Parts: sequence; C-alpha cells; structure tokens
Amino acid sequence: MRAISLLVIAAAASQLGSTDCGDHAIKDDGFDLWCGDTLCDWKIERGMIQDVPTWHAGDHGVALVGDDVAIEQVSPVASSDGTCIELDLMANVDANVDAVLNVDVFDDGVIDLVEHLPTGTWAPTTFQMRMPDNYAGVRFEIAKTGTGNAELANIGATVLKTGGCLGQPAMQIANRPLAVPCDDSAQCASGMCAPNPVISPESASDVCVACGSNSCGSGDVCGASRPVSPLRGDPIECIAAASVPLAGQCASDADCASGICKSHMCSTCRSDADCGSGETCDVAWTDSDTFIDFAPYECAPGARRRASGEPCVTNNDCQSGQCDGTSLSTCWDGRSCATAADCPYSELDQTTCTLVGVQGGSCH
Amino acid sequence: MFRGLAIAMCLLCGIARADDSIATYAIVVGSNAGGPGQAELRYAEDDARKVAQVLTELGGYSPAQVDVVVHPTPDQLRARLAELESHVAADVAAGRQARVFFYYSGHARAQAIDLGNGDLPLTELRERLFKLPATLTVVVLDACQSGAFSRIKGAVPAADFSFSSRQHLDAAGIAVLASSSGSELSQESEQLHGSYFTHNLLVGLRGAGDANNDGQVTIDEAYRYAYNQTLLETAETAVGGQHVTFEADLKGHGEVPLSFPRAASAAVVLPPAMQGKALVSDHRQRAVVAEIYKAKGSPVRIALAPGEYDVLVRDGDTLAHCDVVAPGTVDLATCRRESIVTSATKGGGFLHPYRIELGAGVGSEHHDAYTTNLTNFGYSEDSSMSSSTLQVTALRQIDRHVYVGAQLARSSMPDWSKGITGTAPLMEELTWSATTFGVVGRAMWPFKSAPRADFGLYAQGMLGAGIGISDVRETTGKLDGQSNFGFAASGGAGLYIDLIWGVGVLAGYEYDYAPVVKDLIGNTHAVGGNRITAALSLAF
Repeated sequence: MRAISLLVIAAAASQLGSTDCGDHAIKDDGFDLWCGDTLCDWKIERGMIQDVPTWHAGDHGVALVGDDVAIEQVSPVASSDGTCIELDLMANVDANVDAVLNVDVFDDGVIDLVEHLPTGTWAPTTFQMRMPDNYAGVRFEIAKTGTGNAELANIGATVLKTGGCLGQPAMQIANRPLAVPCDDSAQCASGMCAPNPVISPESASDVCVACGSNSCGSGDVCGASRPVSPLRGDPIECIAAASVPLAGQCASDADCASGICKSHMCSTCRSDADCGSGETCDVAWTDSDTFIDFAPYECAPGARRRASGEPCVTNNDCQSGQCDGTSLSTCWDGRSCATAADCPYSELDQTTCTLVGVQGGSCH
Repeated sequence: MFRGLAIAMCLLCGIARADDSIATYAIVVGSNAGGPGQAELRYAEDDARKVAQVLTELGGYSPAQVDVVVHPTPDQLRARLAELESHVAADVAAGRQARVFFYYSGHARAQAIDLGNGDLPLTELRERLFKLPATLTVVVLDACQSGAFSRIKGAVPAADFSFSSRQHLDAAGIAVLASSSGSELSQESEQLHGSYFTHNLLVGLRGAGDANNDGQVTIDEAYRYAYNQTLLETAETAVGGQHVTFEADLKGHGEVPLSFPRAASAAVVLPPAMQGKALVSDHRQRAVVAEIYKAKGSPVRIALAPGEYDVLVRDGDTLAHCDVVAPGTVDLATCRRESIVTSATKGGGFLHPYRIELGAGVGSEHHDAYTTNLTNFGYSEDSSMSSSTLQVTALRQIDRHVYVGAQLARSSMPDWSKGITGTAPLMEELTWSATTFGVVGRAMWPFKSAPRADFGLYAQGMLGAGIGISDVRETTGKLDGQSNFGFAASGGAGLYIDLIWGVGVLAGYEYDYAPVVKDLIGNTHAVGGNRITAALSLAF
C-alpha cells in the first residue's frame, strides 16, 4: 500500500507537468543540437532554419531564413518548479526584422505573452515572466517576419527558485482548456473547476472539467476521456456510460465496460473476493517489468486460466495463449499511446510508450 | 724616478711588530659612496677590510694599530689624520720611530677623493701625509685617476717597470702606490668581488709577489706584481688597461717589506708541477682570495688564514678543481679535471654572464568583454582551475645589474564549458591558450651574500608578440579552433637566490598582458593577469 501511495504521488506530480529538471526550462536552449539540417529538439512550424556560427566557429546558433519563420518547443515546466521564468536571449537581429518570443501557457494554441526581441548584434537581453500561480506546461515559439537577418544563439530559459519577478503580477490566463490546473471556475473555458478525479485522487489540485456528477445526459456519465496533450491528464467530460474498455483509464466504475475502475484503470476485479478459488486480484503487469506504474487489475494475471471468451489483457491470461483485441501500448501513467510523443514528461524528456498487451480483449 | 726609490728599513726587516722602538699605524679607508654623477661602488669598503686583514695577518700590524674607516665624511677623515699626526709626533718626541700605512679605496677625481658626502682635495691629503714625521709612510690609493696624487708633484706614472729595489737599500721616507694613472679609471671585478688593483696587491702580499722567494714581499715586489697582473686583467675589459703608478721619496738602507707571508701560520702551497692560471677561493665564504698565474718549476706559497680552500687551475682547455686545507699543499692527484667550453670564458668580466630559466606561474585570469560574452552565450568558467604559465627565459648580462634576452611563454586559461540538455546531451568546452615571444630586460640587485648563495631583488619587463588559440570541443569529439595574433607585454619583480654552481631560484610577482584571443563578434581577450611566478635558473 505504501508503494502504491508513492506511485500515486509521483504520478500526481507528473500529471501536473513537474519537470524536476533544476533550472533549465527547455531543451537545447543554445540551439547547439542539430540533426542534419534541423534542430533536434525544436520543431519548425514554418519557414527554414540554418546552422550558423555565433561568437566562435565551434559554437552553434540558428538563423531564421526567410520572411516568415517560426520554431517552437513545448516545455513541461510547471508551477511546482517555480513561477518566475527568466529568459536570457542572445540574438543578432537586423533592424528591418520583427523577431518575437511567443509564450503559450498550457500549450493550448493561445499566445499569452509576446516579447519582441531587440535589434542589434549579439546584444544580451534578459527578461522575466511571472507565470500563473497554477500552471503546467508552456510552449515557447520564436517567430520572425521580415527579410533581414535574424540569428539566435541562446534563449537560456531558467526557472528562478527564489527571487526574481519582484513586483510583477502573475499572468492571468483565462479560458483554460480541460485538464489543466485552475484555482476557480472563472479561469476555465468550461466554467467548471473541480478536483481532479483521475490519476491523482490524493492531490488537492483542481483542474478544469466539462461536467459534474449530474450534468451529463441520459446514457452518459461524467468520466475520463482520452488525453489530448502530453502536458495534461484525462479530460473530464461527458462520455458514454461503460464505454471505456478493459485496460483503459477511468474516473469511476461507470466509465468502464467491465464495471470496475481500480486505480484509475478499468479492471476485472477489485479484490480477491471477485476472483475464483485460489486466484488473487493483481496488476496485469508490474512497473518492474515495464516501468509502467498504472495497470489494470485482473484475477490470476498471466496464469493462463481464462477460458475462451473471458476478458483478458495479455496472451498469458488465456488458456489458449491468445488474447484477442486491440494491441495496447501505454505510457507510465497508464494512458494509451501510439508513440512517446503522446506520453508525459519526465524532466525535459517525454517518457516511453511501451507495448504491454491488449485493450478490451477476450480469450480466443 | 723610481731609481730614487729605496725600500729597506732595517728597522722593519724580520717583522718589526715585536719591536717596541717602532710604532706602527695604519689608516684603511673604504667608501662605496659616489659623488654627483658617480655610481655607487660595490666592493671598495670590502677591499678596505681585506687590506686591514692582510696588514694584521701578514704585515706586522696588530689589530689595534689598524684603523678601518668606512664611508667617512671629509671632516671625519681629517680628524683621523689629525689623530695620526699627534700619535706620530708623540712617538718622534719620545725617540721612537714610526711607520704609517695609509690606504684609500673609493671614488676620486683628478683633484680630490670623493667620499659621497664631500670631497677631500688631493693636495690637502698629500700635504698631510707627506708632512707626517714618520720614518716611513706608505700610501696606497685605489681610486679612479688616483695617479693624479703623484702628478700633483709632477710625478710621472711608470710606463715601464724595470728598476731593481735591491740597488736602493737605504731608504726612509714616503712611497705612494696608486691604482691607475691620472687619466685612467679604476675598475672593480664581479668575478673577483673586489677591485682589480687591490685584489692583485693583496695576492702579491700573500706571497704570490715574493719574486725572490725570501719569505717577504717588499713594496717594489708588491708593485711589480700588482702592476703586471692589473694591467693584464684589465686589458680584457671594456674600459681598458689600468696602469698602477708608483712614486717614492725614500732614502736609507735595506728593503721595505710590506708583508711576511713565510711567517704566517697557514698557507696554501701550489706545487712545482702545477701550471696555469690558479684561482684560490675561500671554500666557506666563496670569496676569491688569490688569482695568479702559476708557472711550472717552483712552488708558490700563498699565506692564508687556516681553513678550507678551493683551487681552480686552468691550463689550456683543462680546468682542475682542487680542494686544499691551509696550511697545506695542493695535491694534483686528487684534483678533478674537466674540459672547458672556450666560448664561455669571456663576457666583460662577469662571473656568469648567461642565464637560462625555466619558470611557471599561476594566478587569476583577466575578466573582460570576451569573458562576459562567454557568460552571455551560456558558458561557465571552471572555478577549480587557475590560469597558468610556463616560460623559458634566456638572458645575457650586459652590465653589473642589467640583463637582456628573450622569453618564450605559454599560458593556459581556465576552461569554460556549457552543458547542453536535449535529445543528445553534450558539453561544449572552450580550451584556450596563448603563446608569446618577446625581448626581456631585467635588473638584478644582490643585497646579501651568504657562503653558498647570493640573495637579491629583480625586476623585469617583456615586450613581444603572441598567438592566441581558442578551441571549442564537444564531447562528441568535434573540434573547431581559431587563432589570432597580437602584441604581448609583461612586467614583474621578485626575489632570487643564486646558489653554487650557477643554479638558482626566483620567485615573484608578474602581470601579463597579451590581447591575442579574439571572438567572431569583435571582443578581444587580454591573456594574463596577476601571476605568482617561480623559476629555476642556471647561470653560466
């Protein structure tokens, strides 16, 4: 039980987007890591970029080539890391160029802050941003318009643990999307801020939700939907009752086709009492095998006891050795994924997406 | 004029020190100080002390009779002379004979001796010494243009020395030995740690001048020896040959012995088989006590205080190192022999005119626009490292205190690095260095000489050019380097110790400045800063 609690606490921290990454808020803040002709850790939104030397032939920078160029990087930095972010920019920007740093808190596509980069030759610029008291994830976008030269050597985004941003008011972010932290309902686009029912039930953190206990229509329940961003957890919105298959994430029993939501995963048992003689109710896969902390519970997992047609999550559950269903890969928090890009962050890197079994399966 | 020289005074024959009927007085004056425009001498006062030592050891003077006067004022010297005059007058009144020895080493001009704090006219000095009622007065002057002391009277320096004192045995009166003619400069020698003239005079008095091997050195033997040796040695110097002059107004019978080396309790004997230029030095004090040319065939006895002595004998291209304890005879069989590098023998009289030094320095590195820029670009300095320098310096002595030469130095600065987080985390590390080459000027002032070491201060400056190299290396192994050129300069000071065999140590402070590292933006880094330096030196 103790182990479970620790896992839950860790999961809660992750769900909030905590980076536990020290001072750095983004990767490759010096534009030094190049994978061929493109930056390894920055995404090109539009236009072209080029690797250029800065103060020394051996020090890399990025040139934004063209009239309309933008690169971006999503950072998992969160309020648990700190609420003051300092940016130390080194840029070489021509006077006929408008270069900006856009800050999109929560990575919801809405630019919340625009900082214009000063023109000049490698003049250092430093500014600080007072983030909202409760935030998780930021998308940094550097954009350039104009025909002149714009080169960047450093962005140096660091979270100041103490001091900094003195006298600055916190950014006010309204119309927040689902599954992001909130302090009151007015901050949410849905108009509802409620305790987070998924993954982190022990956390006091509230998130924007789309529904309440009695606000969904007939046949629907207020449950956990699929995450839309690695920075956020499951959105809480109206979904069809009993629509989440075995081994899917859930907020309550009503979400699950199996009727049992244990440890936020749709399961086939809640305790040993739900199992047959000599069987125990246990997780289908353990974190020691997969580094996945959240898994569905089933009776006698991997014991090849399930007969044909009985629910299963791995082939080893079945007497036939074959579990029919949709192949399932999950992130460490149990969310299903196609690639690591769907998974939450650990520090500044996204965690792995691991093939674990079958979702909504039944024995052959 | 020297034919009028008479040497002997029977009263003095056979060491008169025990004869109460003869009063002996010596005033030995040394003054390093110079007058306006004159550099301070280094060994004049030491020479005076050495003369006093020989007078007491070998000349028959008791220490109480030898008045050593160091750095006096003119009035102080007059007072000593007046005191001497009264003593001599009293002796004469009491029916005793008196002999007087006056020695002066210091600066002089044609009209006066310069005591640094005033002049004493030569005419006055001469008049007072010549009027002394002593039976015999010997005056020895070791000063520039000291021959003018005789020229006042119309004396002519000896262009040649050919008289035989044995023909003039009857003498009482006054004799004057001067280190140079009225127009010449008298010179000191770094190698001898004294003036050429006084050194040779003392070596002669210790026995090397005993031409007839009768156990005593007469004034004409001393003059002959000092004249020849001084002229021989100074002919090799930049100033040129120095001619010892001699004036005498003596009458009577017998020779005038100045020293009695055979009567000395201890002596070093150079054996008959020895041949070559011999340098005898006190092993403990590292002071040269004799430098003579020893011909094969007869022994040479040099009276010295008991103790250990080193004897270096150069014969052709061979140098023999011999150890001897006085009293004793050099045992040639035990001497260590080695070949001489002939090119290292000249050098204007400097003992070790060349120096090679290998040094190192550590200290703080300049922080300037270049390093500020590094910080702006995300780099951090490795605070565990200090800036360090390795340097090789070659110097040649051109003056007593001045060296010039060249220096090659390489400075390494603390690394700067930047950690890069991301898909493939790596480190970028800046390693940089500067290599400079320039001309060096150095002044060295010794302030203390110990038996086996000389201590002193030095100050030096360097001006030259250099190349700065900055490499940015990634942990992947990728390397990009840049090179730049610029001028370089440094200045510093410190202490040095020159030990035996030319080995020494220097330690001091240095400030380096070499703007030879540049970045692509236009910032320049002046390599260097404050340094604590240390070096090993080899002088030869």
